[in-house]
Amino acid sequence: MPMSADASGLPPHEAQDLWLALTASQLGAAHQATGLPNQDAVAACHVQPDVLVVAVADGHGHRRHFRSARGSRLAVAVACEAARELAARLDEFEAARQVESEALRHLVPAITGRWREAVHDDVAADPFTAQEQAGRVSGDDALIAYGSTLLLAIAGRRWLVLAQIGDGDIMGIQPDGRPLLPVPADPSLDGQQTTSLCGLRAEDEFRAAVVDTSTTALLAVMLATDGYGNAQAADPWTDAVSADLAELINDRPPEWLADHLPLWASRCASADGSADDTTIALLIAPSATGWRHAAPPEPEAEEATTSAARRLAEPAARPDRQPEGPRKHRPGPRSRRLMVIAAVAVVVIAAAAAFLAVRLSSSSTTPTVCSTPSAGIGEHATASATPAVRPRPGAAGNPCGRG
Amino acid sequence: MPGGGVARRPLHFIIMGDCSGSMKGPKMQALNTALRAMLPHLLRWEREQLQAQLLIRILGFATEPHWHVPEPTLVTELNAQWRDLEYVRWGWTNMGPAFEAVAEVLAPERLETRALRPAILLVTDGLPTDPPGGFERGLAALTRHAAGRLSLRLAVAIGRDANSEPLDRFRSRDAPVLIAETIDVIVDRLVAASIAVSRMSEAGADRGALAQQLLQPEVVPGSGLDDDPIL
Repeated sequence: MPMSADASGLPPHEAQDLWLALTASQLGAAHQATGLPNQDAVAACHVQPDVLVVAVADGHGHRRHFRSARGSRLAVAVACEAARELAARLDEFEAARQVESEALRHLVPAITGRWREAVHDDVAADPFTAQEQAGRVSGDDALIAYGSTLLLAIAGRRWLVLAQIGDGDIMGIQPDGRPLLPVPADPSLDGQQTTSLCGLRAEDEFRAAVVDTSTTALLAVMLATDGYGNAQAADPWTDAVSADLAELINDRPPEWLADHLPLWASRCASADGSADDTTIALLIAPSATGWRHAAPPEPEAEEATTSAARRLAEPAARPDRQPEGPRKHRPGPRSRRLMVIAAVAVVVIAAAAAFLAVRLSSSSTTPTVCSTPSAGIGEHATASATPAVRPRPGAAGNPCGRG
Repeated sequence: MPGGGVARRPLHFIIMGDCSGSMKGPKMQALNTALRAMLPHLLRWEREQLQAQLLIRILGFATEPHWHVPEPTLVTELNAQWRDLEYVRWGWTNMGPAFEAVAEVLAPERLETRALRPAILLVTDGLPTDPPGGFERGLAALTRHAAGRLSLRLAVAIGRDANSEPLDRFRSRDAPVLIAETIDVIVDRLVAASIAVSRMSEAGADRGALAQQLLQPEVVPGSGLDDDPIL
């Protein structure tokens, strides 16, 4: 099944105070069966050295929106571009309300305006074919053919700006595992219809929220198209998913998460799930990534150490991979860390005792210097990191785009 | 998988069967035969499509409604455990309380948020006999919440006289009232209805076109494309 995955945003270990973005997008089984493309799109990029922007979009499935795959790609591209201005000014704001007001007054109109322009440019460059014209409803604006939702996150050092039109989910994951759902619910989303960038009142139908991460701690933020939520067996699903993700983010390196995100998207998009295109973007907060420099070597891939990880061993593994085995009686990452800390403590105590003994016997001996285990971990994380999208010279001029 | 796993989206299909006194004899027998004949078609569709898990409830109604199959039941289970509906002696055709009973199970707190648009099939041989305001009250309750309001609502009228203005008010805009003029065609009508329910419930389905294709063209309201929501 065609699948796109991107472990974008895995930065080098010196960039430990940046948000990371992991993304995956999977063609839905229903679309695959009917020959339709993946109508979701996702883009992630750093628009400032310390500001990450992630956009996810879901092109509408109805045949009236026959160019919605293009519409969603245009949506994530213009959203990333429009986010630059606000991203550049994020540090100026003192209160969340100011940021939210700025987002609704300037960012949202910029997105909708540029998306409309981009659609009209696309139609001008590639006019509707006779077949497409035949499928259009009389009076439909060209925008209708490109209809798409949009979910956007701008993650800076302090402010996390979230904006959304249409269905899909934006969920914060708190350190205690509870979900944070800051974007107001839209009562008009009844599971059958959605608001859309192609709607006449798109600007008014955007919802936005701002989280002050200096007072509201977050481990991560997940943006997902409705193919994800509609596939979840749990109802409601946010509590269970958030709790499991918190555990995994604490216990696993980003490489492991990047490796598994496409599998989760794949399960959701399969005929066992929603059968709909499924796109997930997981933004991992800087506060959740400190362990990259302090943790011991990661467990082997088949080692399932948490309840969440055990669930990952359900039959969704890629065919070319061995499924994860049952829980083994081997120490988990946390246990290992404790063991390493205990071992270091023993060495330190022994060294101190030896030092004192030597000092007592001879005052000319220098003390033993104990290195911490973190150096090895840093090496491991850097060596196994997948290609990074990270701030680099000239990055501000780079297009955001993958979709 | 974080959260505990995935599942197909539920498609709730509620069949409202008229069990009033006038259904006594061949009509009741034909209704039961027709309902059983629907099941293989529904089962086949469920296996062929990729999006929904079909869950069926059956409500019998006369003077009062009663749940014949109260819990959402898989087609295979329903087929294996089938019990015929029975008519209620001297039972009236009160539809209002029946609509309220269906509304109750489609309330937001009872329905999965990810459930597909529910489908309701009403099979009756007569005009509603509700006390004044009863039918309207029931219909208002059914359409109060999004699931009921947006549900696909089809009606099969047994006998030409059964096709009435109240049934026209019950049906959803994209679905017709099917008429089974004689007992012999009840099976055909219910099978057509079951196919329509299944195909029209698929995400992105052009319901207006499907209704024209699958059901009686002369009673289908206008083309569906103009009515299509953004999906």
